[in-house]
Amino acid sequence: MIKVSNLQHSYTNDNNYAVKDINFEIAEGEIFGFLGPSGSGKSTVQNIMTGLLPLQKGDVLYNGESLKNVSSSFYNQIGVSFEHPNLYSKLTAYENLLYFAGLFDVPTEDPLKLLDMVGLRDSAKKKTANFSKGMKQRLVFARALINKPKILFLDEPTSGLDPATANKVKEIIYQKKREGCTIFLTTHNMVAADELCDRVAFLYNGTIVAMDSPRNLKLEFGQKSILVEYRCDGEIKSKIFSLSNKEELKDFNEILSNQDVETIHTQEATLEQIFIKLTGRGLE
Amino acid sequence: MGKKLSALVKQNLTLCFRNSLIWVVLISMIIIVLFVNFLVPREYETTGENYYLDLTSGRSIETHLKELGMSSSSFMSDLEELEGLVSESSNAVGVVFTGEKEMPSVEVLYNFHIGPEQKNIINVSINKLVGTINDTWQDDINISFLRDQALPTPRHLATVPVLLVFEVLILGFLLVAVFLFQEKGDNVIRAYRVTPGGTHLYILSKVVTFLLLGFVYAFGILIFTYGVNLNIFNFIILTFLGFILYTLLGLIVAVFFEDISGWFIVGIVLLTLNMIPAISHQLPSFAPSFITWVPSYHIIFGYDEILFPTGKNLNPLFASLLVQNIVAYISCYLLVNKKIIKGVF
Repeated sequence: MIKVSNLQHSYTNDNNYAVKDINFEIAEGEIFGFLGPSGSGKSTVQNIMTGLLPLQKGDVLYNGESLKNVSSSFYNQIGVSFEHPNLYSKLTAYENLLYFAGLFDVPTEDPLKLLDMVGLRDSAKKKTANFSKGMKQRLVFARALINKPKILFLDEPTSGLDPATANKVKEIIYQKKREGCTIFLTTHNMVAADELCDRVAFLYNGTIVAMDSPRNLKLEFGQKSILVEYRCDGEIKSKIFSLSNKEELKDFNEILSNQDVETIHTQEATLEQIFIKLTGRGLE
Repeated sequence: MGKKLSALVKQNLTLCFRNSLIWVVLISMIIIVLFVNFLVPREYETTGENYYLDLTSGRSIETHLKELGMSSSSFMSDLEELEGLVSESSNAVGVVFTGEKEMPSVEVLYNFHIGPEQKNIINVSINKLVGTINDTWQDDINISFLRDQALPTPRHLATVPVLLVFEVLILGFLLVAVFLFQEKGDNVIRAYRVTPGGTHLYILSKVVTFLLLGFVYAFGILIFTYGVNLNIFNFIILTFLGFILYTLLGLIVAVFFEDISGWFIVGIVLLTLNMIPAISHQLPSFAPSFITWVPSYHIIFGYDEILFPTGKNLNPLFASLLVQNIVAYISCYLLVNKKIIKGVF
């Protein structure tokens, strides 16, 4: 579906590359997460893929056709949700979607349906200048869906949203995936990426340092063990049991049967821990 | 293209009516209509007051001039009274006749600088006056008009061509800058770039929107000042070509700035330079060659011809404006594509 090969970009047109030698492929219907801290080059890659930045070196292929050769009708197939909300502040939410829909050559969604989906139906007639950041973010997300895109580029789609609204957005993303939409998700929110993505790539200093499914990454970089907390003689005790050691598993079963177990946690690594392990720094 | 253009024009019109500038424009139109209809007099004297003292025998010149319709208040009874009036007024001329009616001596009193041309005019005027009284004046100059003689232009309507150029046409120049900076402020051009819209549609949507507003503004001023007794077709063509030209020029200038404050000085200087041809309109002999390069120069005289026809052919003006529009559109396309559609990030 999408193939990015040897992508490099320099904002200063010299050897100071913001991203270098980026290679990945995204299958149709896949949610691909591009993870990294601010300034790592995530948005640069997304902007090149959407044509907002010129292709300097390398190539981006959509169904085998280079981005260099695609016509303006390519934009009928994609939807882009920006990290920083960009809306006509003097237009209402409904008008922002309605007029934007008029720019496409393909059948579009009903603006009110989209507003309903993102929980903005009641604010349809309000000017976006009066919207909170979260409301703007949802409207930008809704706008990305207006042309029923086959490829969605989402830049921090849950940023600034309360947990309930973020879950609503995640559910819409799942829904689009079920409909066959290919999704390129750029975020530094590892929890959201873990929940949503089929595969993720870690980007650091402009290069991909790891790429796989979240499960495989966790298995590769985490421990196959269980941490158990139990109460013994009035005290809380904890113990780690390796899942590959049969003797330890026997002890684990013993505690489960005879002790007052309070918590059990698998010791797989989180995506954030893996990122720190690989790069030596966090994501914020 | 039609559907997309329609969507963008509707969007721009909605934005227009939510922008305070459009209400400023509406109020300006009302003020202009009131100004033309009620503040500018229909006729006004371009010469000062003339007073006469007839000291010829029997005051026969005074009698003749009164018979010709001259007001009694223009005649003084003695020299002291005449000198008093002339010395008090900054533009009054006193004429004293002495001697015989057939060949009077004439003395002219004035209280301001009079150049040799004005002296000659006064001389000829008095000769004509005396000749008319004595029935000896002969017009020995034949004047033939190549075209039908134009009717005298009412003074208050003479301002309409000026207002059409320097109020209506520059509206496109101003509005397109205001809209561009508003879009830059809202950062919506990035969103536009990931649609199939493109540069042509972006430019055309602005031009069509402001052209619609421009026609409303132009016809508003025209109907409530001059009326509709004119060649409407030529009026529409000139407004169409002139308005598009100024909108394109406005966009060409605005793409170089990030916000209205950066644009302000350059924009105002350009608009001021654009107004210099108004001097030529009032004083047609003032037409140094550089002024003819200002787009408003030919347009203002075009409107003059449409409103007060003298039989001039406007087709060369329309052709020239068409060529200017084509050049402006190509320049505009290249600049908007480079600095807005591909450049805003």
